[in-house]
Amino acid sequence: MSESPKEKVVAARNLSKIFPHGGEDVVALDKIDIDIYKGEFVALMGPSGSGKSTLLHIVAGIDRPTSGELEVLGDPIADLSESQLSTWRNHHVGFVFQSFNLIPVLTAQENVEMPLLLTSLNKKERREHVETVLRIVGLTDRMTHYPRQLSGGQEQRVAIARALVGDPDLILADEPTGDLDAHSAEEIMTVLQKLNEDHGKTVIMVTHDPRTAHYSSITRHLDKGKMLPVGEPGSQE
Amino acid sequence: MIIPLQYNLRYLRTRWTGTLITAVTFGLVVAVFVIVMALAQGLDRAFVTTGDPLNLLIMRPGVQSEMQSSVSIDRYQIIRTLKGIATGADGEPIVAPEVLVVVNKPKLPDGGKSNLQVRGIDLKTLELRPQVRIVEGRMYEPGLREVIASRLVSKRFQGFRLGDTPIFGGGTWTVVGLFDGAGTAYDSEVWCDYEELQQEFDRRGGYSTVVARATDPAAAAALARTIDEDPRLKLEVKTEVQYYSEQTETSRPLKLFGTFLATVMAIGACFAGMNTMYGNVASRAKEIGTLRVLGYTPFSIVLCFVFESVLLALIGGIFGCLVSLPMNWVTTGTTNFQTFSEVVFQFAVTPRLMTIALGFAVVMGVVGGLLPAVSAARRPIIDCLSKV
Amino acid sequence: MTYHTFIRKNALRNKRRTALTVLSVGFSLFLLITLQTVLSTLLNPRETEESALRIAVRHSVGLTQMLPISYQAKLEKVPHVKAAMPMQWFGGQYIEPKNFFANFSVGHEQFFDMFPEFEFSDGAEDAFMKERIAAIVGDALMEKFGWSVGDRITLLGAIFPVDLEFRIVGSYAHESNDSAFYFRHDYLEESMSDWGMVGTYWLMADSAEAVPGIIDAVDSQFRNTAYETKSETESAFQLTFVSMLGNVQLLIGSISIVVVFTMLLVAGSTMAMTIRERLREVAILKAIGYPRRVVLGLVLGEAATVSLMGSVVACGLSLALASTDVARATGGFVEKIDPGPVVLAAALGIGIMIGLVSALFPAVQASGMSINEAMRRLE
Repeated sequence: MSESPKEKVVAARNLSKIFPHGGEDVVALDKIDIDIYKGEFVALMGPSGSGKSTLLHIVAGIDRPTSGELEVLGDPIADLSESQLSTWRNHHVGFVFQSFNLIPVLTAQENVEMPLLLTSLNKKERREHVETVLRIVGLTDRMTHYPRQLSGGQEQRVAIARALVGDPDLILADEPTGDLDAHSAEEIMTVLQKLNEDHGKTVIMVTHDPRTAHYSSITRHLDKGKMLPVGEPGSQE
Repeated sequence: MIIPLQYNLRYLRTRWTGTLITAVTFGLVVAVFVIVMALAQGLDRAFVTTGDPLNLLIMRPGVQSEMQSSVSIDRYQIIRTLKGIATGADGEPIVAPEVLVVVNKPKLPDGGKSNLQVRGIDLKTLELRPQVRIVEGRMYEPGLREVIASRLVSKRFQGFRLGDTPIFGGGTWTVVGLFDGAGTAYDSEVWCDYEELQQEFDRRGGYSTVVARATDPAAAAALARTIDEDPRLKLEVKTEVQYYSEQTETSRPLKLFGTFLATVMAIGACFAGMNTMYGNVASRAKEIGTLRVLGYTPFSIVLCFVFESVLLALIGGIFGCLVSLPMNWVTTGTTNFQTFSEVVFQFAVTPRLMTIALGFAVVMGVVGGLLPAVSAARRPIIDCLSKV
Repeated sequence: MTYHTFIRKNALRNKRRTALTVLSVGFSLFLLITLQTVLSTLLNPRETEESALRIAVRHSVGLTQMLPISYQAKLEKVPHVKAAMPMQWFGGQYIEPKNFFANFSVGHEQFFDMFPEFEFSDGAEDAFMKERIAAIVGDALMEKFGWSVGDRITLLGAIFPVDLEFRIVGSYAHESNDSAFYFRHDYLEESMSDWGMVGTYWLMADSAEAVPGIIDAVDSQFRNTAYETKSETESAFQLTFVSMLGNVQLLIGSISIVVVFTMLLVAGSTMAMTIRERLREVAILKAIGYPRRVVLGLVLGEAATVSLMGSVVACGLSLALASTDVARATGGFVEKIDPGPVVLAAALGIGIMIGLVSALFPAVQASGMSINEAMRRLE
């Protein structure tokens, strides 16, 4: 590692997450260490219950670790208050859900615009941003459609546009292709890859599908709450 | 095939917050209805239970109340000689003159003044009105400035407790007894010797009314006719029952008010009930589908949900009735605008009123539940099953 | 798009539920407006320039006791009294008791000065002065019975043992009080074989400032006589009647509280239902960086919007009621239920408050829920 020092996006040391469950503690993450650098496209893989989604949620500031140190984009997000965390998410992170989670009463365009309402941008600027990201995901012709009028792949592309519209440094995706057919999945992965390569976004994606993981630059495996060494594949998929 | 009641009860219990809120909403509507109607009924009862069908009230023609009437002493003497009048223990006909005046007295607790009806009676009056009983102290002594007051009056007006010496008409009187009028209009009155009252208020020329007791209903009718037709008398006769039921006009605005209130509130509550039931139907779409697959007809689904809604409303109705029951012990007053004197009465939450209120709740339940139930039954089975 | 668009679209998402809630809140609020309007009309008789100058004088014991007709001359001599008019509630019935309306005998010489706010029909005054059996009738009453000037009417005495025949010589118009029947007191006096008594006197003061002084002067002049008087302003006199009804304020007040409480329950349960279904969105909004207070604001905004729509329905219903003939339905007990802009504005305010208060608890709960928890609740 003698190249020019890359900027660290995620730095986790001894990160643990324990859920109390029916009187017993379930260890979801067990003293994990991980570093992710700017510009990487990381796929987190592992069987269900391995802790990959929990890790993603903690990195996104949606969930909090039980113990350990964590810096994301240089911010100690575990120490931020709930409202500071909201603002932080709005500015720095774009999150893509497995089930798209679009708001059904809003059009594609309005869904994408939602995060911008929190900013000081005026109407015209917001519109320009929305159009830009919808162009990136290739949906300029579907702007006024409601979610129920879109295909699954299109819905997910709207969701990606929504994640992208605030120009975040980090895109987090939780099984983004989980609810899609193979063809749509390919489309989505192409878009994410484009964001990583052409727009320099750091992307962290949770998946259990090796074909999807194939699009990433780095694949890391988790099992039973532990991070397996680099390059070592998961025991079973 | 009817879906068992158990099913509805379980559901109402599982979604208990929704059930509770809706039931309380229905309950409050019922409670308001019952309370306002109990007010009107209490007022009516004060008048209606007062009359005795054998007692004939003889008054000047055309007057609306005893207060405005006057009957001269010589006419009283003529009435005493008429046939069909019952005979008292002393062998005399039961005919009693009465003198009515109104005095303005401070009320408890704030001292605001109200008109109080004072009835000058003959001791025979007690035979005419056996429902009035002395409960404390004793009867007044004829020829003395003594009064007996109803227990309700002694609670509502200042200076009418046992032993108090109220002043009216210029003289000082002593309260020697308290009576219970058994919910009649006499509960709003103070009684004393009519001759004393005549002197005090300078009414020596005559009485307000004369009350006669007939031997039986046929004699009452005959007697009434005789008096009506007697050219010496020129008086009007009503049975007490007739007279007092005319006074219930006083409660008409209250009843109108109660009906208006209950109607508007019920409309609001029905919309709210519909909301709850639509919610219940929506969240149970899958089960409705399953029941249909099992062979339940759309009609039994409608029945099931209407029934649930009625059950909900009935729970509310019972709650409303229970909440309003304690009002039975509350005493209040209003003015009889025909005599300008105060009528004291108790709220009357009667079994009949509660039955009407529960019926009213059932109607609200049906109205609130019908549309959601029909929408549940009409939805295609496949839609129900695929709905998440 | 703005927050407003989002709130509006959400509020209309379940149109049926929103409509039902709007109607439910609307009807309850309509009832509240009506109750408060009736209460305030009863408790605050409208004081006008003219009514502030009028004083009612009656027997200190009550309205059933009479004052001698000889008081008129004495009252006229009290300083600052411009006019003193005898007035008697006749309580006559037209054909049958259910045709109830107010009918009074009045001093014909003072009548026209006493009620300067009445607009009399042409020639009414002259005819009333000349003709002993003349009567002047309010426009609303004329219309109700289809009477016209020149008609002969008989009122049957209920309190008084005489039946009187009148000839209608004119009518009068007034915005609220136009359903009374006035005739000459000397006619009643004569029919009662020079009765010599009257129930009330109405005085006209020369200025509003003089009113308290006149009241004192009149009552002290007749103190300790056989006919003591009780004088009060026109509005106080009307309040005496209301207080005779019983504790109207308590009755209407407690019913109003129950109505408000019912509305809170209805709006609250609907909002709880709505928010339960909206948890996924709350989670999404939070995941894309919406802070708690904005989420809270959006949910509360939706509740306020729905209840505001309810308020608008309520105002509409109230205005519809204001334009109907309430007086007839209530037998003249309530003249008119016209809430006026202040009450309507207050109703809009109460509507919004109800939305906010009812949604507060579920909204705080939902907005405080962690994203994971909210997502889990959906399954």
